Amino acid sequence: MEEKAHLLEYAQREDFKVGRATELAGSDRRFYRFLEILPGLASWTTLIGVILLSIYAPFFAAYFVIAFALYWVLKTAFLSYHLRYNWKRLRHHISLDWQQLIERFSYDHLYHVVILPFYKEPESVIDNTLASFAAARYDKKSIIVVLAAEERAGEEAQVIANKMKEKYAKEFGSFLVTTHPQDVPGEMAGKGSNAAYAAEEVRTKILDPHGIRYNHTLVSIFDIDTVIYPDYFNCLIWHFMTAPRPLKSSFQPVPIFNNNMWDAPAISRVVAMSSTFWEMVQQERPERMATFSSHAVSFKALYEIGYWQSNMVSEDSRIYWNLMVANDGEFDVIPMSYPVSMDANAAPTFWRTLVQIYKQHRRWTYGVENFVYIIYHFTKNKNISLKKRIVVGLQQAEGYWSLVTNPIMLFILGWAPIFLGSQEFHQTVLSYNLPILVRDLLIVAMFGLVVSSIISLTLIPPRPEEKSKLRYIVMAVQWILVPATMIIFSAIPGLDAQTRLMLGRYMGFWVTPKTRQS
Amino acid sequence: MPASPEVEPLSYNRRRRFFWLLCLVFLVGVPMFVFYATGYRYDFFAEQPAITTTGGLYVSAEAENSEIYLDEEEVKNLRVFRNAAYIQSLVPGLHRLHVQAPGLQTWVKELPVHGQIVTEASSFNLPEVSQVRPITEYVTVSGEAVYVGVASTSLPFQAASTTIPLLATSTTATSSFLLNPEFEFIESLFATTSTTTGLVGRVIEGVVEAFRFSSEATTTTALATSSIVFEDLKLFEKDGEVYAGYTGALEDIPYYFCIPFGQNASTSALYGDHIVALLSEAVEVAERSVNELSNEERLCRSEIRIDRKWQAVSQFAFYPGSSDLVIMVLEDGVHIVEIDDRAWQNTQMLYAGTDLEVAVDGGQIFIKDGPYYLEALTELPEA
Repeated sequence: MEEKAHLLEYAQREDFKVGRATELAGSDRRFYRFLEILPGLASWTTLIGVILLSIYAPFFAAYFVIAFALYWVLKTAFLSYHLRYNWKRLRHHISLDWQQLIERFSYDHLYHVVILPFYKEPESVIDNTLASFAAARYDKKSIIVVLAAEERAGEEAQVIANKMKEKYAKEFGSFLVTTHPQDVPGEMAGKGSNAAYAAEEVRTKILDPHGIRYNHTLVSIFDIDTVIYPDYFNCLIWHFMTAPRPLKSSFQPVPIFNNNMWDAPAISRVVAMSSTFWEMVQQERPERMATFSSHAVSFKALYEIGYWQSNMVSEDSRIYWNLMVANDGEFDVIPMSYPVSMDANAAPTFWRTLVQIYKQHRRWTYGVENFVYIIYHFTKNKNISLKKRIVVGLQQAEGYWSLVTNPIMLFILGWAPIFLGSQEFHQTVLSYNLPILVRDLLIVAMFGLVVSSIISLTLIPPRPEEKSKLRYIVMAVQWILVPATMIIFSAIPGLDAQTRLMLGRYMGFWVTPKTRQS
Repeated sequence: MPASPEVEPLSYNRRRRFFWLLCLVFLVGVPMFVFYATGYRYDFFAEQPAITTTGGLYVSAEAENSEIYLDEEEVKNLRVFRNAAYIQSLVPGLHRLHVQAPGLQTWVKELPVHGQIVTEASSFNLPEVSQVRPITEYVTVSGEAVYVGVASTSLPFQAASTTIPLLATSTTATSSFLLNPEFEFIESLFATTSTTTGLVGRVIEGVVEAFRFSSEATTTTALATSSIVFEDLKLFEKDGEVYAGYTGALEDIPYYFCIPFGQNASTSALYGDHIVALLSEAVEVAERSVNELSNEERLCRSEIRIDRKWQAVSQFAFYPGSSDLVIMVLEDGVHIVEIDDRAWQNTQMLYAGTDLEVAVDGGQIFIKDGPYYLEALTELPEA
């Protein structure tokens, strides 16, 4: 019990960091298992329901499809509105001199811990990332870099880590290489367990010995391929100093998957940029945000909940829900609207790239395990306001449900009444008008793709000399792939992930391989 | 330098207003779109603006470059596919359709349109001048069809057109010509006593033998119970008439067997007495009555008589690959007749002549005209 004394009261619960139903017992276990079944059941029921409705009540199915197509147009308009606004804000933020902006604050007492968990990524990727930190416009003596290696990655990872330390240690206040031991009981091999180990290592080896206060330490955790923009730390400080409750907030930059944009195939670019756009939309509605990928948070907040969970897959979002639940709902995500650059999927072959994209998105959409966690703890922690529990619960449920069902319903099942309906339906004006109307509505919705296409062109890095200018045209037109990518790399992996969770076939952490051609 | 970023995040109130605006659009838009899709229209320019119910017509037109006219006005930009047009917002009542193309016979039909219902029709346009491909026993090296022992002034198919050059030779010497292997096959198709053991041979033999009646009294009795089956349709002869019957499931019944239910009072005016008569008869088909072939939405028949233009029928068969058209060998030639009898059945001449015989092999129609064989082509040659 003593080892939990530093944790917030709610975080001291045995089930606080539950990863799956099998870790619980009794009625809690049954309830958690029910919640694990729920998302997949809801999605499958919806999809099968639309098919059955098309067969047995094609008229109602047709009305539903019309309403759904209109909903999609309006949703596209809604999201495009947010996207365009955030794009405007993002570009403005990139243009600002954040160093000047934070001059009015006293922030010399603040330290930055940068955690970079890695596995078997090539040296060039890590080198590129560290070079961007070394080039940051900030007093780097207050930056503590933690290169978090995995024991299971073998000797080669150690060699790379030490080589990087030798090269970059002098650039920063401190440079720590940690090695997360393999096969720790109760842990899942993955980023969460490595990051949690690294955080504790930096506490015991750097913060405590140097008397650095936890509430004066900001932890930024990045995927190993993350390249920061020069003013990242200045921007982070500005948002930290101006946040209503900085120690009860996470800070979320915009991950732009454009490091290798000129090498990645079109389908990979579209999928990657779609993820970026989703994050940009979320930046304009922070009440719906959870942390994703790279983010920052005070060390104090992390320490109070025992760092990242080490027994589940989507630790990047789970850490926010851990913090939110442990703080009785009083924890925010502050959108920074400032970019960090990451890699789009690009394997040596096109097919392997597709497989990588699918697996990566299945892992991301396995974030549905967070829905289970949230609802479970919402029933336990009554200190969270009922309104917040209901609103957040419904938002998350709608998010995971629509992620899986909407693209399939819109682009595939939308035509089901026409193919599955009875002849009585086929002879009606409704049957003939349905595909025309849905087609026209989807064409209107394509306006959203035009917006996406224009914005994406402004976010790609400068064209390498060896790449043709015609690539710009390809990059503009590539957005016609969206209907296919939404189904293949969003809805289907999402359904895959929900089905696995529903059947109790829990997923492990799959590390996306990083390769660079240039 | 400003103390804070100039671009503030979207305010919650602004987002909320936009959200509710879109909700309003959705709530107003859904009923409007549903009403529109189901055929309701609001006529703003009428003397007394009101909501009216409209219907539609779906016309398939296989012929290339064909033009579709509705009530004498050309229908443009309404093709949903290359060979079909969907005309909507039509006032319920009778509408006349023309489908025509240069060099092709015109298809005309007057069809009723009902509110919220789409009336389907399938047009066909055969060449005005019969297009044939002669099949001769001998051909030249350059592909000319050779007629041996025929004067050049007596070449067959004078009323038809062909792109194959014909060569007439008054001598019977054939040594300088090539034997045409197709001729032997076609000849076997029409042989009255076939010895062919292949599948095609048996089928063709069956076609030729089984459906000859009317002009040959000796076979009529035997053929009264015979029929040709294509998918769930069958063609059969009864009391000297040819009928198309449906034997499949109600869900898949071709559109022309049915009329929308609840239109009985006007059925006669819209479709003619023949439809009313057929609908009122309890015709047994596949052990079901007409009533069993009906449901809440439409009333379906199970048999349609094929128009024989008051002529004797010597042969009949399904048009290759079609469940809409029938080949009828009548006294004055080979005709193609549509089964759809909701208005008059369009009949178009495929090949004029007397004492003709027809054989269908795969997608081809072969005709025996006296001693000559030919393939009847249903499209104009490419320019």
